[in-house]
Amino acid sequence: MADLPAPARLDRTTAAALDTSIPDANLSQAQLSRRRLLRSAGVIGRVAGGAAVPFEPVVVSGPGRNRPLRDSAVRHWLAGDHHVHTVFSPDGVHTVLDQARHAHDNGLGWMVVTDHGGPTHVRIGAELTAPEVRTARRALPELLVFQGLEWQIPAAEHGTVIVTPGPGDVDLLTEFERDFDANVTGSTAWTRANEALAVAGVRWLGAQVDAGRIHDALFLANHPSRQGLDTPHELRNWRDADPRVAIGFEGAPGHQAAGITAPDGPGESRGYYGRDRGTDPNQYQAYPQESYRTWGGFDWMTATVGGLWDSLLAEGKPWSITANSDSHDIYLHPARRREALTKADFDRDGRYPPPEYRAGLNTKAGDYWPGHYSRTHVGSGTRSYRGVARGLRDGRVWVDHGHLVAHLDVRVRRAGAPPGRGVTIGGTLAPPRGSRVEVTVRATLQDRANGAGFVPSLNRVDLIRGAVRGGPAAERDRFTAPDTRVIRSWDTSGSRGTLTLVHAVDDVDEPFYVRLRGTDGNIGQPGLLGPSIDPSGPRMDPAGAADPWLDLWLYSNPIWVVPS
Amino acid sequence: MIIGVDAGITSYTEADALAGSLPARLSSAGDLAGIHTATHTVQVGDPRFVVTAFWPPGAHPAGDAVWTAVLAAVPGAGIVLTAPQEQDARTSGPDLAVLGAWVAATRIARGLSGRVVTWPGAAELTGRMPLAEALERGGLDGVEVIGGDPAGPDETFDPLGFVRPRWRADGCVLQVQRGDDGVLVPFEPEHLPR
Repeated sequence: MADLPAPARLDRTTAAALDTSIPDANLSQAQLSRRRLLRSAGVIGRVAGGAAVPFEPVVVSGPGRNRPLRDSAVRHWLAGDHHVHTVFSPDGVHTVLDQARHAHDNGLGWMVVTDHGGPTHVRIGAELTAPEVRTARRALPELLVFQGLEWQIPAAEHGTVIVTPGPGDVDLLTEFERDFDANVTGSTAWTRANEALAVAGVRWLGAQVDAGRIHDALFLANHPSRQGLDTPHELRNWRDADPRVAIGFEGAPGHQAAGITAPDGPGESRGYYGRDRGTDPNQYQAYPQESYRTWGGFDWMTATVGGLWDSLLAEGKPWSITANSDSHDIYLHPARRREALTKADFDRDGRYPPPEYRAGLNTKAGDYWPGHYSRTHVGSGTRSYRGVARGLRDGRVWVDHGHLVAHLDVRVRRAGAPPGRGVTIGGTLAPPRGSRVEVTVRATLQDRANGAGFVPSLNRVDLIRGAVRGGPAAERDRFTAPDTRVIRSWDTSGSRGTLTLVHAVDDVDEPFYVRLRGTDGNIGQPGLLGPSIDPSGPRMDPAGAADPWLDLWLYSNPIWVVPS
Repeated sequence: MIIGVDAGITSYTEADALAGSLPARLSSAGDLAGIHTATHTVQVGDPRFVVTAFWPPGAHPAGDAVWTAVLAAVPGAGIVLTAPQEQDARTSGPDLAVLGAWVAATRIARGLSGRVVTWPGAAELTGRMPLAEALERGGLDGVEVIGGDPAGPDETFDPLGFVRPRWRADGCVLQVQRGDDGVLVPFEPEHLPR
C-alpha cells in the first residue's frame, strides 16, 4: 500500500515485516517486532473503515420510510437482474429495449441497466441512456427498468449502483460517477486513498437519500472473486459505511455460457472466472487459487459453505446475494456489433448503433439474455421500483439458475404456529430462549421447460446453519466461518407439485441463521472446507468444460433466529 | 544466489516478458546453468510486479559477474543480490524499489511464493504426456490439483503451450486443474479472460 516512508535500514527483516502476504505466525521474533513497529507507525495496515460493532441483533434499521417490510405485507416475488449492459457500454451490443424485451419474455419483473462507468459514459452516455430507458418502460409496462450504473469501484472490482427513478435520478448517478468511478477518477490501483474513495462513495449515496434527493439507492459488488480484488476488509468497510446502501454481492456472476466446450461454445472459464494468483499486483494475496474459479456457477465467496459470505453473516449483519446475466453479447445469437466500429466511434458518440444481423451463430459469446438462465427473486409489497429496492435491502432474496424451481418459500416459525406464519427470507425471528422453532421449506417444483427446453428437477435440498458471533474489530479480513455447516440434506428426487420440508430446532439458546441451497444433483464434490462442513457441495467448474444447464443450483438468503 | 529486480512494472505481460528475457540479458555473466526466474506481486508501496532470478543451492555463476550484468541489463531498477542464508545484500537503485526487490528475494529465499517463468526443463513440456513423465522431464518437484482430488502419475497432462509453476518450500510445483475429459491442464491459462 502507498504512503510508505523509506525505512532506516533495508534488510531482509524489514522486507519480511513489510510483506503482508506473510502471516504474523510465519515471521521470526525479530521480523514480528519490526512489523509491530511498522504497524504502529502506520507504515503498514489497512483503512480502518467503520468501527466494528461487537454484536448487534440483525435487523436492518433504516430511516423510517425504509423500515423492513412486515412479512405479511409481501405480496409479490419478482424475478430480476441487476447487471445488464447495452450499446452504452464500450463492450456492449444490444439496445436497452432489446435487453428489456428479453427480460420480460423470460419472466423477469425488474432489471437494472448497468453500463460501465467511464469517461465517455459520464460525459454523454448516461444522459443518452435515459430516453431509451423511458421508451422501454412505456413499451413494457409490466417490467420495472431501473437506470443504474456499473461502478468501477476504486481499488476494487465492479459493482451495481441502483437508484429508484425520480426527478434528477440521472443527474445524481452522473455526479456519483464523476466523483467516485475509478475509470473517471483514475483510482483503480489498490491504495489506501482509493479504498477510502470507495467508502466515501457509499456514504455519499446514503447522504443523497437522507437529503431527499432520491428515494432509495443501493450498491452490490459484482463478480467479487473474479480478479481477487475485493478484499474481505473492503467488503466490510463498504457495508459498514452505510448498510442501507451497500447490501450485498453477486452470489453468482453472469457470463454463464462462457464455459461451454469449444467449438460449440467459448471454451473459456464459466463466468470468465479464469484468472490466477500472481497475475495482478492489486490482488488480495491471501485469497487461495480456488477463489479464482466458479463453483457450480457460483462465486467462491458464496459457494464455499463456511466461507467468506458466511463469515459476514456470522457477524450478525445482513449481506445479500444475487444472480445476474452480466449480459453483453449473447451466446448463439446472430446479431453482433457492426464490424467496422471502433472504440473511437463509441467515445465520440457515447454509444454504438444497434447491432446488425450476421450469418452464423455466435459461439464465442458467453452471455445469456436477462432471465434466460440467472434469476434474482425479490419479495416485495408492491410491484414498484421502491418495493423492489426495499425487498433487496431487506434481504428478501433467493436466486436460481436454469429456472430450477418455480417458487420457493422458506420460513422460520415457533413450533405450533400455523403454516404460512413465521418470518421469511431476510427476516429475524426472536423467540423466547429455550423454545422450539421450525424451518419450513415449500418449493413449487418446476413444471415448465426452461431456456434450454427441458423441465429441471430439484433433486436435493440442503439446509445450512451458522452461529452468529459478532465481528471482532481485528478480523476485518476474515473469510471463514468455522461454525457454519450443512446440517441437513433431503433427497427430493422424483417429487412433483409442491414440496414441503420441515426441520425442527429444539431449545434455541444462541443466535444463528439458516439458509437454503438446492441442486439438480448432477455434479458435486465435498466442500472446500471438508465433508464434515459440506458433504456434497458444488464442483470447481473445469476450464472449457462447464455446461451450465447440467449443473443447476439455487441459494436463499439467510433467516435469522435471535432468542431473547 | 538470488537477484531481485524491481523496475516498477504494473503490467502482467511486461513482468512475464522481463522474467522470460532475464537469462538472455544476463548471458555476459557466463554459464547460467540452473537459472530460474519468477514474477512476484508486491504491495509494499504501490502494487507492482517484481522479478527474481535465482539458483537453487549448488552451482551458480560468480556474484561479481552477475552483479555487473544485471546492473547493465535493467538500468535504474531497484536491484538486490543476496543468498538464502544471508541477511544482507548488494543493493542498487531507489530505496522503495530496493525494498520491493528485497521482498521478492525474501520470498524465494524462504520458499514462500513466486510465479516461475524460466526453469531447467521448461522446454520439455510440449504435448500431452502422463503426469509422471511431465514431472520427470520438466524438472518439477510436485503437482497440486486445484479444486479437485490429487492426481495419479498415469493421468494425462496437457501443458497447452504455457506453464508457470509456483515456487514453494517444496520446490517448483505445477498447479493444475481438470479440464475437458478430465485431462490435467495448467491452472493458469496463457490468455487471461478480459
